[in-house]
Amino acid sequence: MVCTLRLGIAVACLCSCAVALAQVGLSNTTPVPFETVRVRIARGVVGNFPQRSQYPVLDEAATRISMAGGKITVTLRMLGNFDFNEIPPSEPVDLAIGQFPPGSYDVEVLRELPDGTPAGSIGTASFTIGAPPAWLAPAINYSGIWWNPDESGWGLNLIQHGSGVIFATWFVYGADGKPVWYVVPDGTWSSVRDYIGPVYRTTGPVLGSSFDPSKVSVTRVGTAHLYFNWNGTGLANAGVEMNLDSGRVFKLITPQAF
Amino acid sequence: MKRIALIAFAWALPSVSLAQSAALERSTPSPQEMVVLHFNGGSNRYDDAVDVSMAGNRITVVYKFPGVDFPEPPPPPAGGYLYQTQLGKFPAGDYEVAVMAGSSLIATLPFHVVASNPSIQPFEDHTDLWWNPQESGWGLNVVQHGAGPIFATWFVYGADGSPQWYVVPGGKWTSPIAFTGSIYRTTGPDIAGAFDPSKVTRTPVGSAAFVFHGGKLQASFTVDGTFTTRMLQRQSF
Repeated sequence: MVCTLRLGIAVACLCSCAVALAQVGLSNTTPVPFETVRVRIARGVVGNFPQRSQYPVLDEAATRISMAGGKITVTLRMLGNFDFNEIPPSEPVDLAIGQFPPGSYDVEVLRELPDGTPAGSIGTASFTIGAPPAWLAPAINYSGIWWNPDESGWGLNLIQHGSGVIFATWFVYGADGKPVWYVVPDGTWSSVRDYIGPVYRTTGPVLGSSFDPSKVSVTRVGTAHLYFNWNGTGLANAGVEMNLDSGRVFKLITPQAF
Repeated sequence: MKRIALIAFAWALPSVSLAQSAALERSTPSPQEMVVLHFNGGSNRYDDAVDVSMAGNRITVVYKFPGVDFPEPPPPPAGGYLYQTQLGKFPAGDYEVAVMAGSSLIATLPFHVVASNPSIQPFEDHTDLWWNPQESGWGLNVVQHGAGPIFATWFVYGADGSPQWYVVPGGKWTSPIAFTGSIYRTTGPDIAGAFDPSKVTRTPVGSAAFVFHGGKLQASFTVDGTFTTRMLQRQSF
């Protein structure tokens, strides 16, 4: 009986430790270079959104992230009632901590009271970023809005993910002058400077109070070819070639500066 | 043949005396800004693939010599071979970059990442493609410039089902997690022909409000008096 009770306590302690350790993790445990690393703070550690003043809630504006000696420290500032036992169930929160080169990193998440008084450590995590993947992709992230400054009015939006895949959206006009957009949702790198993917044109319902995705039609209309570092003239110069069923369009583009 | 090429390469190097140098685009970036290294290899051409690693708060960048099995090295550009290398986006702190050309240390460059002003600046870089997985077929592109404004493009459909896009070319942060800006509808010349930007019309049609919290985006649009709001998430690949 005593042994059973002790075993039960031991199990309870183990569970408690496991819960404590699991309060801090990473949204992606195997990030690659130039992928945003996000520390994941478990459900129930910070409050709900929108803020409910009777419960503790994360004050993102006063939360700090710093790095020294290879260790990243996230200090969460809480608002409202700081009896952490009263935090209601809430969704996990992902906080971006940066984009890092290959290396090994440690993260610790601390919590402090509304007046800045330290309130202990929530947990730690660590991650390693390996060398760039073996697949052919540039060690450059080209995400941004690209345009031709001499042709203000249209643009090409590029979102390059950690996997190297680019999601491109091309905002232009049709023969009737009306706005039309095309999408290049995926593709492949044929060299570290060349990206090729299919171009689609879609139609669909108006975005109102509801949206029925089954009514979206997707039609492939051609192939896109992005030439980065166009003719060796620098990373801020690229060429976009759209070989559409309706004809070929080629433009020189550069990232839009704000 | 390869031996001849090697001799030619070795002969070519001393004949040009362009110096190597390195500098950071910004010495005090914000946590949301990409740290970019500019390296002038002088008369030396390096591999496109650059080794970047980090230990402690020290980043090491190694430019490697390419193979020398080309028949003859091309003449260096007048200003030397120029390289741009992205290093990453880092939390507040002090860092240094060791720039190596092969095994030679070219420069050690310090930089200081300054913490954002939390009262007026966004907490993180929200650049991404945002969508609602239950409503695949439309999306919102958000491009954030450092800790500054957002440029957003919203791609949806018109009443006739044809693709329609709107642009939020700027706006202001009203809190570290909330951004508002005007929405424009534009028309313009066919992209298939010569593009005359003077023929682009820009019509303000309403406003957009974005609230970022916990990895989610509450995006609200008022277009021609009609209000639409959605909870969005990043599209991951």
